[in-house]
Amino acid sequence: MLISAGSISLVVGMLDAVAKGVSIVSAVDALHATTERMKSEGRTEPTMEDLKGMVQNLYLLQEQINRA
Amino acid sequence: MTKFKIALASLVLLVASACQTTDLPSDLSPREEAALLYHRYNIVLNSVLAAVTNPLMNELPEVKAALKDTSSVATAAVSEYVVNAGNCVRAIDGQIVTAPDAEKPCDRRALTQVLSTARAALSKLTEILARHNIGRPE
Repeated sequence: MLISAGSISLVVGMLDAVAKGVSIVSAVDALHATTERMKSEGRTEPTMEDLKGMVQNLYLLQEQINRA
Repeated sequence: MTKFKIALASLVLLVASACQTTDLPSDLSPREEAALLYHRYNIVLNSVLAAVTNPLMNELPEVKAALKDTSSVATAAVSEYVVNAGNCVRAIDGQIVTAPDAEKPCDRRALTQVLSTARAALSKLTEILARHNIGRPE
């Protein structure tokens, strides 16, 4: 089987993607940054507006993919 | 090209991983869980974008089309999950509860079904990749 932890590392380098793979660690780090920002704004979790903004970003990325 | 195929096979695993919620920390609120899922899938979509714009992909038009179709389905599923989860507050003993600012009720089981749709699309993509000897020993 060619799929391995090593090949997951490979995809990151080969595809020149965002410098980090989809690991729970990197995602938690990103979430941590988000929650820290929210705390600094006096909030404890994402608002509906935050989440809708996230979704909008996903669709923008998907549009770019569809155009490729 | 072989290394590129291995990378593509790995990418499918990354997409599948991003659509899983079973490995998320258990102490997250539904909205925090939705934000975490978003962050994971955002990374995946950037990887998909890099893959489909890679010149080597032009040699695999069927794979390119399948990757675009699958990511489109998964994006819709993850987006629905994120918005719907935002409508939920923590369920107590598995009960369905609705946040005060909810636009519609949210059922965590329904959320799981949304992600199942994404995983079904991934299975189809995996079959196409297999036809191109991607993800199998060569």
